[in-house]
Amino acid sequence: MPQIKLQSSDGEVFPIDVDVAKCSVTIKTMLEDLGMDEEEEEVVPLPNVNSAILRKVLHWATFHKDDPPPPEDDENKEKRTDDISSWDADFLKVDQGTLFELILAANYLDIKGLLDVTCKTVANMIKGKAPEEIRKTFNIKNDFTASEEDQVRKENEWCEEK
Amino acid sequence: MAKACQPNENLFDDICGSKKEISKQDCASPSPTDTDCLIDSERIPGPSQGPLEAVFFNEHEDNLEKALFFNELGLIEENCENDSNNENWVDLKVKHVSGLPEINLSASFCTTPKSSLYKRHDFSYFDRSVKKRKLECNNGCPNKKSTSEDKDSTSDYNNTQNSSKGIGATPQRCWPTIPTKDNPPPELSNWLSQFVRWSNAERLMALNELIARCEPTQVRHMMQVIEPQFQRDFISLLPKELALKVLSFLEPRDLLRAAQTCHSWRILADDNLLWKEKCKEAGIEEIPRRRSSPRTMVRTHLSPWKAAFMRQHAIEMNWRYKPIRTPKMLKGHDDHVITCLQFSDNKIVSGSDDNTLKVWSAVTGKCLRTLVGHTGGVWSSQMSGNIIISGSTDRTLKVWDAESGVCRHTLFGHTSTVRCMHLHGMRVVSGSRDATLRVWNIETGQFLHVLVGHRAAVRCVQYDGRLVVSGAYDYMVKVWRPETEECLHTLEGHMNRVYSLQFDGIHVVSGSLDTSIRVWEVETGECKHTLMGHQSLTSGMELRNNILVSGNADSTVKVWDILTGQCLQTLSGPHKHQSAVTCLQFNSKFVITSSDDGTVKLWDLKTGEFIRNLVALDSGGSGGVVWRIKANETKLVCAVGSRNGTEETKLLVLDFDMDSNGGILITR
Repeated sequence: MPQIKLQSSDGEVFPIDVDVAKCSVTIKTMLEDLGMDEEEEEVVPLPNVNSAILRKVLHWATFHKDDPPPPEDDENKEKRTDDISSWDADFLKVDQGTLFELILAANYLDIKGLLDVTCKTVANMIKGKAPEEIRKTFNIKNDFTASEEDQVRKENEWCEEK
Repeated sequence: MAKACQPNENLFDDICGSKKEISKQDCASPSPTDTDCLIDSERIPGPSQGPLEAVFFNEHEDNLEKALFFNELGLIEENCENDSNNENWVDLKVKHVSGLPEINLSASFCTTPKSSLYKRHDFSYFDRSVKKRKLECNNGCPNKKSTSEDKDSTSDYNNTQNSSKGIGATPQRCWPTIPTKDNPPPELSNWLSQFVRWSNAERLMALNELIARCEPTQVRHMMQVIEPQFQRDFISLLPKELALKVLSFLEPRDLLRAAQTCHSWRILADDNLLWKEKCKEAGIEEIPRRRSSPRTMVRTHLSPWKAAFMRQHAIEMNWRYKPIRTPKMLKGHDDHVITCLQFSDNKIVSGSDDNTLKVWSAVTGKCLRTLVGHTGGVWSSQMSGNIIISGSTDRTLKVWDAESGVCRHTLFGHTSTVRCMHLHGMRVVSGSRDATLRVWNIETGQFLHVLVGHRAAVRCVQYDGRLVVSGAYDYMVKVWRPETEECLHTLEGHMNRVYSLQFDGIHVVSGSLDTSIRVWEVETGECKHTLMGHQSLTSGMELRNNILVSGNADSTVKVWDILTGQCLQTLSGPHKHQSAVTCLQFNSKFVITSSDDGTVKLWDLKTGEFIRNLVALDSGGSGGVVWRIKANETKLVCAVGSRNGTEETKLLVLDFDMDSNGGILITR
């Protein structure tokens, strides 16, 4: 299995199967555009991903390397968040800081599957919560004045059975 | 006393570079007379009795002081220049978990405390605490002894401390029971200054040991202080497109809650394209024209798509729950039957067996025109824009101008009652009791084609601009190509009269008095499914997106999937109609049904549940009938009356719009 080396922002080098690395469209394109020979001992620098996060990303990509390509977004289709596999759910049992970094890395590396599942995970943290619970979950300061809050509440009232 | 100071000497050596050796020495041979080691090992059965504990734990028994310490740990990033960003906490955690902190002996120490907190704890305070300890030592308290030496040993390698020595100069102070930032426990700064001098690996070790010695309440306190450091305000901090991607996974209701958390969330949760997507999911294809009512003016800053979504939701809730007040009543046609009903653009057209049609305003409820000219009862009609077409027992069709009420054309040709018709573009196809169908140009009034083949009255017709499909009392359904006047298929199978038809260009669905509904493929003429379940005549059907809803004289309504032939729902149960279903209409959420029993009922399309009666005539059960219904998004028009005079013939208009006063139009 041909390998390439990826270098994280803090200088750590990760040798990895090319197949796994190509989960990232960014790396795939880079390899194709640069015509990088897989035999060469070249190191692909990834200045936007630190080693801790890159290790996580590669862990995910290794597990998912044989997945079929994710379907294109269909904007007419209702988006689901209850379809996260148990492996992914376990994998994403991390602190919010790590999850945040993973979203940025998945976006930078253009790994749609990982980006989707991380964004869904955050969405699930918001779902079903009252505004105050959301603030607590993400340590958000309520910066509305009392009158603004009143206005916003009215504007976002969800009519229900009376 | 000489022994007691050993741990701190170890510490010094440790810092100078021979950590492993020294800690081995230290742990392997704690002298029983060594107060520090003795006390520590009695108190904490931990594996490593390192020099750290000697520094950290000599006196700080007080829970509150521990708590204070952890509060201050929260500020460590400020105190230490090496760890100047938030990521420090993540790194700490990662390395901590790995259990193998790398030992970097060349790590530099944070020697320049920079926070104001730290400045308050400068070394004159440090000296005071030393003085206090000395006094306590003199009182013979053994576990205080070593700390008096701490200072000496640490000051050995810290010139700043030497320069600020003033032991004995400061008088003894009494410390309050509850420490505050301005009044910290005396040894705190000593303890912290030691901590900041350590390398990362040493700090991690110290923290591990510290945590091991905490009581659960203190650990919980620690968590409360630390937890926010791990929290991320994803929506505010992520790049906009990523934040919007997260939000796109939320349902509208959650988006509304998210908008209420803070300013930056509100902006994103109100994003117009995000709501456009939500609208598409909900089947809202376009933004309704903005009305100039005062209420919408207030909301103009809203995303138009969000406003459209909110409006549709409010309307849906109105249909479901809003108390129904007396509907608007449009009286006309005396005691005659209303046979057909059209409703679009707030214009209502009722056809009656009194030989007339009436044009009404759904807004004011006024009768705008009465279309007089037929010499027999009107039994079928179509409307498109300003054009109305009617079919009568007088064997003619008439084309009317709705606005002026003028009859543009009278179409002669049929030799019996015109019982059904279907308009497409400028062409109308009429079916007659004379067993033929005729195709007309409504603009010119020209007769175009005649379709001959049925052997009995044509009862129903559908025309999609390409093909004509007709159902007749000869039990047949026929597919025609009007241009060539040829019959492409005769769909045989029904065992009785065919009363109703639906045609979507691919499937023909026919309802018959034989109780069955058949699904045919128009190209091949093949019967794909025979839908069984009804017990009587299927009088009305509607087909959309392969979902068929059928109303039956057996008083039930069924929802079918015509691709599988499966019956998805039967609208019955304790609230079912008491007699034949006369008319029905459905959209993506609801089915509305009317009946001979004088009621109009609202049902949930997906679950098949009865929601409520929209209309229940007092005369229901004693002759009152709802003959026809037509609804748009916000209004329901019902043609009601009776066979025996118990209910005057009239139209009822119910309004479920959110913008009208109270939701229901005021009774005139």
